[in-house]
Amino acid sequence: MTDTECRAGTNALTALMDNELSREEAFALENHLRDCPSCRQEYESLLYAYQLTCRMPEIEVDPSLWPQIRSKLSSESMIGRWKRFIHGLLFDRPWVPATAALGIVAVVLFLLVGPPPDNPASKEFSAFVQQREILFKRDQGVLFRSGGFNRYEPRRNPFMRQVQYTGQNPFRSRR
Amino acid sequence: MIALNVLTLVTLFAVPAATQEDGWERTRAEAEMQHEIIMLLIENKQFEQIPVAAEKIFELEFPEDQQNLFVREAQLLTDALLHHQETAIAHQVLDIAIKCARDDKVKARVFREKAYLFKKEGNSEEALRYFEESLELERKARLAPD
Repeated sequence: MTDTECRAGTNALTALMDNELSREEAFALENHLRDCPSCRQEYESLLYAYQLTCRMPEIEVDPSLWPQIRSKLSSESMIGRWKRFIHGLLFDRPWVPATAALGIVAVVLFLLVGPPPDNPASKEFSAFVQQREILFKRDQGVLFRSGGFNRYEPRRNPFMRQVQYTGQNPFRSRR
Repeated sequence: MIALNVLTLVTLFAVPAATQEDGWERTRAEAEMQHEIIMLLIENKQFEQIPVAAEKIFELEFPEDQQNLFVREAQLLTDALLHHQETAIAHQVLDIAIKCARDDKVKARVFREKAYLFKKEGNSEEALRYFEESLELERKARLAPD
């Protein structure tokens, strides 16, 4: 009794129960079952299950069952497709997960470290530049609004002697 | 005798004050003239002569209460040169002003002018650097004993 014979025998057991073997094949298998206790035990347990199944009453199948099964199958195939896609993404193109991982690390680092601190001098500097721009325009000799009036102040010599306008007649005798 | 003492006192206090005033008047007149020369140089577009002419103003002895004129002149020259896009000459003029500035407060204000000039040139980094330096100088000037 060889292992090959046992393997061939157990494979053909269901075919024997369904009367699908030729007469010679069935005869050879029955001979083998007579001589091989382990195959015979296998045959007997299979036969018992087969007879149990045959004794079960037939069930009326709900006609709506098949569409349900089909939709379930298709959703499972969708999951399968997703699984395949993710598998392909992870293992077929390794640069994709590597880039994503780097991106996540960068985001985490940015959140941990935070943006560069705002220079306090830069705010003060912008205010200074704004004020200086007004002076620049005035030095250009342009009109600018001051105290609700449009004033024109041309560039003048800063070292010129200050002359105060008193509003008095300059030709009036001081005596 | 009393009259003589009074006269001595008047001479002691009034004469230096008058001399000081005369000194400033001379400085002012000189600066006024020099400023007009610079304005003429700008008008004639003889920009390369401006730093030397400006140095003559910045080298003058400005009394404590007239230091703002030193800064004002630096501002005016910067603006005038900026209007002619002569930023390199403006930098030279301001460097001379920094060299001649006698105290940190004035120097700080000229540093701000440098910062403004850099900003106008589009060099924000250098502008901020000069501005920060001016803040530092102002801080030092505040801390320094009078």
